[in-house]
Amino acid sequence: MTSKINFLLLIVLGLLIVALMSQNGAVALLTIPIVFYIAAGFVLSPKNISLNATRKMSSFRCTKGEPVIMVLTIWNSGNAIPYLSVCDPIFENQTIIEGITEQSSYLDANQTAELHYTFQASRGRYIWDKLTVEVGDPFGLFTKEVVISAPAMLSVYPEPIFLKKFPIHPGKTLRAPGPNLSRLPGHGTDFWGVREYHQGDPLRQINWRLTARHPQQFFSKEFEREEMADIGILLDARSVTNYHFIAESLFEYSIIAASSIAQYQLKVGNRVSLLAFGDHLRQTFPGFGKHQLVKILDQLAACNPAEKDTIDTLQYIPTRLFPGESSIILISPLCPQDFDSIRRFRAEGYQVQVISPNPFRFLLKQLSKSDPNIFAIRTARLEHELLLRKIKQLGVEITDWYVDQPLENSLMGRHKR
Amino acid sequence: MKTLFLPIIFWCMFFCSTCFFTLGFVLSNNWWNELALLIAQLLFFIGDRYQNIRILDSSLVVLLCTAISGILMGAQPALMIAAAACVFFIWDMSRQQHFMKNKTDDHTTWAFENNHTKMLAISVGSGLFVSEASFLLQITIPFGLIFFIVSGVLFCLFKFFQLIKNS
Repeated sequence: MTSKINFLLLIVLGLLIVALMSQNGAVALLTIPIVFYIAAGFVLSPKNISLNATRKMSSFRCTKGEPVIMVLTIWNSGNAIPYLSVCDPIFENQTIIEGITEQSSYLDANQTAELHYTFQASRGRYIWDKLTVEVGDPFGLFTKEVVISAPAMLSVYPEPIFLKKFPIHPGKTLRAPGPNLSRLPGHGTDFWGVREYHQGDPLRQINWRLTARHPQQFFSKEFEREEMADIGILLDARSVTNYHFIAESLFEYSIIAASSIAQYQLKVGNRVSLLAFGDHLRQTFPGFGKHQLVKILDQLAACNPAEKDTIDTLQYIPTRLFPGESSIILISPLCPQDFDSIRRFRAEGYQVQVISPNPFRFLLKQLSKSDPNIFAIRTARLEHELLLRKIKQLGVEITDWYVDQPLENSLMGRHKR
Repeated sequence: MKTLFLPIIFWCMFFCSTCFFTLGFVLSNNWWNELALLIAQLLFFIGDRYQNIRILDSSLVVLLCTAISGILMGAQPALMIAAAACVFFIWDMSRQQHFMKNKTDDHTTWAFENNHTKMLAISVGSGLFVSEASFLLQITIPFGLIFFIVSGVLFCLFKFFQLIKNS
């Protein structure tokens, strides 16, 4: 029962009291249309309800800001429902750009009601499961809530940044063709050396100049073999390093960096894996190709910064999650305790590169110049610079990404710093 | 056609209620009630224009009070009951419009509005018919009916206190 029926009962009560007090039957007769109205509502309220719902979306995966069309269909397989009110819940980061998310309708037996709307969403994984609808009589007096299953899932990927160049220098390569020089002779484009001709060598590989000097022998040119590298992206999702403001979060920059690097490395032909560490670990096993990119982007869409203050997560990450001697790209704003963990990675033979979204640039972007915390930030920034220098001494390539500038600029300028 | 149908019914019922009230008050020389009616109708318009449920509910109560005072001050009871029924009808239609603010031009929405108006007309119309017909009957109320009414009043009181408790 709703507040409307309570209000009407109150009116009926008032009219009856006035009728009894004034001993006037005509006043009591005023209640009859209202009583008939309530009785009609009670009689017409649906008894056996059988509803089914389905959701259809224009895409199950999209990038941030891309419009998605949602069609929610409710099918009545039972008796006629005089009043059906549907209100599709809206997520926090979801913006409706067209259409409506609530509707009241009359559903006859075996009839459907459809709700169309278009929305945009921020990066994240959106899961719809149950839908609560309100059914009742046509006047909305006797209503009840019915829960229907209408599952759907949408992964919103981070906004992509297409990197033109992001060279890595892997210590060990896989025995498969790829873009990285392997320091071994074989098929490639870079000149490696000259050796004696072997039967089966193509004619275009013969070094004619050297052959001319030694008339009795043939010599072949050798090229440096280009092979695939194993790259592990290690994404820091700890709350202690990822500052969060109302408008934006530093973690979003880490996500953008991870997605751009994964996209680039898979495009050039490397094998890429992902490990995000925060409250719990999220992992994508090594793979290559477009399918692997979808897997990684799916994981990145679902990643959220940790809620608990955990500092030492990096220290306890089992290094065997990445193939031995592979290249690890750590994307983290870094904290002083991370030095030991990076040293451990280097000691175990991994090639480590660090991309650090600069937390102090991010903080300065958010705070005003007159803020008293500015001096504290400057001090912390110096400490951070020292940490980066210490890490650099371990043979780790560092990219200090000023988040107010494009990532590519920082990646290209890392050798200059 | 769809968009015009409901407003036409609404204004017809509004016109009827005004006519019934005015006729009743004029015949009984009840000018204060006529003034109260105008104020209540103004309140109703404000509630309807700004789709404010509280103002709409208040205006219904005021209009019903006007009908009661009209009956008690000698206006024709049949006219007052008819006017009150018409007021109740337009109150429900207006309230319905408030909940259909974000409606689509969908066939199911149209069917819902159509069904609602039809059921409202049938229930309020039959209630009004019974009330008017009861003027033709002169009956002495038996004890059982009194008991039923008292039970009804007690039930309403119970719901009233439950409402207060919940709010």
